[in-house]
Amino acid sequence: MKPIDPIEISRMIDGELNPEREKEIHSALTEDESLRREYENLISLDSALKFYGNEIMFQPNIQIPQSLPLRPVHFPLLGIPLLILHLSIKFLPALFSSVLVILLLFFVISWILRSLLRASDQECRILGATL
Amino acid sequence: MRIRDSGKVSEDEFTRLVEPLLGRGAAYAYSILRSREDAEDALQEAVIKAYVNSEQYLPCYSFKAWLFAILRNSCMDLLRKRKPIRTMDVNDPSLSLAAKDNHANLERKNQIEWALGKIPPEHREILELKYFAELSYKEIAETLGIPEGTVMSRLYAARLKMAEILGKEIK
Repeated sequence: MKPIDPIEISRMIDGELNPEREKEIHSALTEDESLRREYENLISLDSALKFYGNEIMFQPNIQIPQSLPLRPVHFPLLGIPLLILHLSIKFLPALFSSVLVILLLFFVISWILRSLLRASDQECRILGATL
Repeated sequence: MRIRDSGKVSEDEFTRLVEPLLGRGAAYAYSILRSREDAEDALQEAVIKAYVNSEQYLPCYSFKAWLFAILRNSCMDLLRKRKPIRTMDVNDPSLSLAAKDNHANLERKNQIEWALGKIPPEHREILELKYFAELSYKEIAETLGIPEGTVMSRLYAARLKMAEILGKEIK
């Protein structure tokens, strides 16, 4: 029998070894005490890591994009700004809302200023006509 | 997991391929980021990136390996953006009530988490992909862009290191 490389034990635990070699190693384990101890240590670590893997697994609350209506590959000009908009709404809602609020404020202030300027312009015209 | 040999991934195929990987993706992202919220963010980002770049996917490789390579990059980006501390979030809802009640389970979990933090990053990475993402050797090699032989030797070394650390801790 070919001498056993310890890496083969690791592969055997993962089911990544061919069945013939696996049989050979299993029979060697019954004869070699130190090899069996190493195998048992690796098996116990394997089960500990599998336990941890199952403990941390959870069903995430995410969305699979089923149909982004404007994918960049289809609409190279429109797609990129729309993708940025989509990602910013998704991942930076606070920043997106702040920008939206600032733009709204800017619009409202400019509308008020415009009305005030128009009113004062009318007053000037009336005053000019009176004079 | 393979998809058809030529052409891009259709939307139906994409959903069908991604859905069964979400739980493992979440566990893998959590093992790197140690926060359920961050893990969800990284996973969402990775799924969007994969969808947008689905035409770049080469069908000769495993879809799972491709998705987890994107997820790994998303996690690394997120990790770079925040403080380099990898501690367990005790208030994290991912610690189930059952686990909280079961002291032995929680202790075991903490012990493994602590040991994972002690081993070198290249060893931890292999263990995370093997156990939490549940990838095969071939898929790990594709995800990391290393030969399969390196995966085998690195995985064995990682296991020895973990066993040594856990052994010392138990003593």
